[in-house]
Amino acid sequence: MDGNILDNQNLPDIGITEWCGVTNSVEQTEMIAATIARMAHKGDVVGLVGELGAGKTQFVRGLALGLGINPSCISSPTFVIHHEYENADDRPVLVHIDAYRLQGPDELESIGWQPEGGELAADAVVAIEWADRVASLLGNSTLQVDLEHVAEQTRRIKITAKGYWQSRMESLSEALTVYKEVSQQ
Amino acid sequence: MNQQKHPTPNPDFTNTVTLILGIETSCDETAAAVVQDGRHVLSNIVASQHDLHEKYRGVVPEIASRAHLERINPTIEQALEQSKTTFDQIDAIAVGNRPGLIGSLLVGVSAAQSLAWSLSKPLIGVDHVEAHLYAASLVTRHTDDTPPSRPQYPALGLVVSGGHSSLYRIESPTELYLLGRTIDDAVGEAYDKAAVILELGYPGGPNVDRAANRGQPTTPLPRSLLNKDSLDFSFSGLKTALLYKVRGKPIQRDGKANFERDASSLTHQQRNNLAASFQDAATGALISKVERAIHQMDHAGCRPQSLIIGGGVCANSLLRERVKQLPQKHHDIQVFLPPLPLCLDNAAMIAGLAYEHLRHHRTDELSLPAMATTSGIAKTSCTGKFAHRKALS
Repeated sequence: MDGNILDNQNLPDIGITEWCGVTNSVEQTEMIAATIARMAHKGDVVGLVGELGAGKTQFVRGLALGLGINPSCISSPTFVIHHEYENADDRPVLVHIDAYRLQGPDELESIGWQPEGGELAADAVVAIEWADRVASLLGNSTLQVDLEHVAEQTRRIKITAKGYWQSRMESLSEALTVYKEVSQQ
Repeated sequence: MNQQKHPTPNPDFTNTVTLILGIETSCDETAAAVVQDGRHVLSNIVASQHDLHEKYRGVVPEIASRAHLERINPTIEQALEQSKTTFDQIDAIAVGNRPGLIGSLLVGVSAAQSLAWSLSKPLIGVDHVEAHLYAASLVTRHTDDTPPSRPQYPALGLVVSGGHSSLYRIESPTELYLLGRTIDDAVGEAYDKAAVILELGYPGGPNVDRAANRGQPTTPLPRSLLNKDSLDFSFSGLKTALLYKVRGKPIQRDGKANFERDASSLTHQQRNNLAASFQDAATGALISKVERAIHQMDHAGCRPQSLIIGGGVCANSLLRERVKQLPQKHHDIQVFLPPLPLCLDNAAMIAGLAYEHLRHHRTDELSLPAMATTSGIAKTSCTGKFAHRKALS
């Protein structure tokens, strides 16, 4: 395994709203997502931005893992726009939305979405792929995850917190730092 | 059944006539059809293709449920008109109520509920994916040669479309068990994304197919077969591998990752060869899993008598060719590949499968819900599938 798995950059001591890292495998990307999911509450929104093949669906698989949902159940909702997943315990369920085929934010409303999620998000963590296409509808409290191609197996991951996600950024970056240290042993 | 209900449209039809109006709005297509006795397609109207385009001056395929709302009534009217049927002659109303886009499904389900209530006819909810595997049992008026025989059971079913890539063990038209499904992208979705990567335009699937037929599979691309017993599919790795073959290495530019080139820098021949390489890998993975499923069913003592294919990707020329070659290797298996209009989303398959439910007196309450997912696929823990697979092996 390569040494520098999570390359933290520019982390000020307080008021962190952004975090950057690099992963060298799908599994590492999933681990970051699972860490985020364990900090998520019902009604939370995670917006995923990145090109084809950047690993957005893989990231959602990691979110599922963190929410206690069998990650192998996660498949791409590109065609049906949204999937819902339940888990065995009382943790939030997962709503997985793909805006790839949506022609605008108003079409998100056709699956029952209301600003800030509404009923669809009431008991769920909502993951939205191609979130940049429906940004105006996502509300003020979103964790945006940008996935960028670096090499065939390597991705740069940028996490940006808005609203209540900001209050969790410090512990999130800490959790991801711990992961980095463990992996480097 | 009332023998006088319908003027015999075809002398070959039996005397007892059951007419079912099918409605399908699970995704992009607004569709309605009238099917007689679960076999003969009297009309098959799909609004977002071209039948209604003139009327609405070009329907843009869009997923919003209001598009279905605008089209549902004219589509149903046209299905009745073309089948020379009136509402009074219809014996039951069938609707694809799962799985699909919830807002879209609701339009069809509401229409079916209203019709069933106002006409006092039975209402039958049908699983869209299961209906795809019934399409091969239908006979259209345009079938010029003798009607195809019906599949023998147990059968192996493969649904390949934009939203689904699934294998089923089929005991009867209404008794299906999921054996495997895609763990990431559906094969049709992979084709659409390959078309975006190769800049081949819309519609993606047919364009990749056409380009592939002009090229040679010169670039090896991964066929993800997962672990050796798995009947699941994975097409995400193939998509990403194609992306890197087409666009080269990512390079940082202004702090943002870009690729060193895109498809426009490929020659026509290079692009066609990459399309052919993609097509070879994608269809190769499907065929490998079909053969693996045949072996597993055989090993479990329920060797499939038929292989039934359904879904829009059936239109793919290489898949059709490879599927048709399967009986050379697996002699006792008959392949059922529906004609293209019945491969794509349509309501005839809904009305057809509903006949099987009606025959077994399985009808639904007027409160029939629309469901985004088929139970056992996404909205559960997948345990049903694994439990079943254990039972098989």
